[in-house]
Amino acid sequence: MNAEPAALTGRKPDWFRPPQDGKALVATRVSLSRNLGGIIFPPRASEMTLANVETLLRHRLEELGDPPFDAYFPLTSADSLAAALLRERLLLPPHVLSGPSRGVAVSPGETVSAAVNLLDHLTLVVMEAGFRPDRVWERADEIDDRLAGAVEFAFDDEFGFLTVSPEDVGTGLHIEFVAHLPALVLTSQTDKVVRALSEIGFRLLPLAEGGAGHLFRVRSARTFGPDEGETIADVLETAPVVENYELAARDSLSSPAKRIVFEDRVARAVALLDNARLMSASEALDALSLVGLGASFGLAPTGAADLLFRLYFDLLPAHLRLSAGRETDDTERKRLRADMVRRAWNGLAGPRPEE
Amino acid sequence: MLCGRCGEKNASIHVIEVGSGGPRSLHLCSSCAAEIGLMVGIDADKLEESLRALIGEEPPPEAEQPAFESCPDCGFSLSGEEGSPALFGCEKDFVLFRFPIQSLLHRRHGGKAHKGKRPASDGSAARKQQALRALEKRLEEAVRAENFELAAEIRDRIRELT
Repeated sequence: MNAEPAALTGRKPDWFRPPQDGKALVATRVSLSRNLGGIIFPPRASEMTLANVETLLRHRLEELGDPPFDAYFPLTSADSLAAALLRERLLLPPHVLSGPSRGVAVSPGETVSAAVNLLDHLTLVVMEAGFRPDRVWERADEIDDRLAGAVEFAFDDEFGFLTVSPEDVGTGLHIEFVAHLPALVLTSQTDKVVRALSEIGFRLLPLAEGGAGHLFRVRSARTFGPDEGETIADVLETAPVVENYELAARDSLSSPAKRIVFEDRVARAVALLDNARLMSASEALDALSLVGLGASFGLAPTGAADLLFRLYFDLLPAHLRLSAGRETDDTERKRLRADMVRRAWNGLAGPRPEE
Repeated sequence: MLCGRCGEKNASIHVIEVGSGGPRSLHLCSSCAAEIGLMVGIDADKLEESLRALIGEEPPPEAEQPAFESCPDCGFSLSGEEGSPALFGCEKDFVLFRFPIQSLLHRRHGGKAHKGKRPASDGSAARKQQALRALEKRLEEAVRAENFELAAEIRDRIRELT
């Protein structure tokens, strides 16, 4: 059933919840790139081919029955507001083509999605809250197998699954985890993490533009060579290292040298949340992330820990524009955002830094 | 050591000739060796070929340069378009440009070949399952509508499939 992306605003995807035990790992995401055998890939396919592929894949996806893809978002322009909204929700591949007969099928709660003709003929994505690469991979693998029974995938004994981008050839598999890393940002260690991760075949990407809210994606990059099991093992090994690094950075914030700097940052965030009348997305999300972290040090109300996760999507640029339901200019959107944040913030009770 | 034939140049070829009078050592310079037909310069390719034949190895593929500049089916070429990175356009690219693509992937991922899963190919099983699920749904509807004649018919068809 065709749907408008605006229908997604106002609700959170099921995979997006505060990390367990107040730690750093938010969600797990598995994506599989696939193409149909004997059919020109989307970047070079004619409009007729694209239309046929879209019809075929939409039928096959519907016939799967499980998961029920209850919404299909047609997407003809990669630069549109609709595309920006779907991108903010991680429903699109990293690079997306523009043109007719493209779109993404989404299951309830957005735990499973299938992008059609957006780069490859099909990109299957499974996401779940928490860190569980085994489980999420098993789910993706099982859906992939059932799809392979219904369509023939482009495959080569030596190259594996054939994809549009050289970054995906082989397993076509990228596993990533979403991580909340405020202390690594505060202690200016993200560059170090980027370098360390790239050496072991991982990329650190911002979840939202500019890394707003100190939320990141750590994504496996190697698809040609390691098999699926090895990629999962690498992720299982990497995630705790990144998390412990963040937790160590959090501990370091209460050292005598850093404590006052950290308190100052939290207090400024509190002042912003108390008083700002206009807020950009990164301003709002960074402030919410800081008071969230501050809450675990007794510097902000305890409810503040979850505020970032409650408001995150609503505050993102494309979400805000679409949920406004009318044409808005930049200042108006900043005002709407500041109002939304202040309302939620004022609803919390608890210690403030000055008290 | 000087050449045993001309006595002028340095001997670089050392041969043991086995004649009727027993083995005899010859020390020759390369030009004298060529003159008596012992040696016509080393052809590196021929040498490699004979070495390969010796250890029973297949010769390497003709050339790493593909015969096509672009794929006749999709127009893909290795250089990409206007400096943008090459995006593959169809399965055939991987056959026509096998070696350049292989080294591209090796450079990028470090791997030499795909080791992971293969497509689950039993399409018939999947289609059968699908048909089953659809029939089961119709069966439920028939029972709910108390159309027992139709329900019996559907049940027979389900039995045929399982």
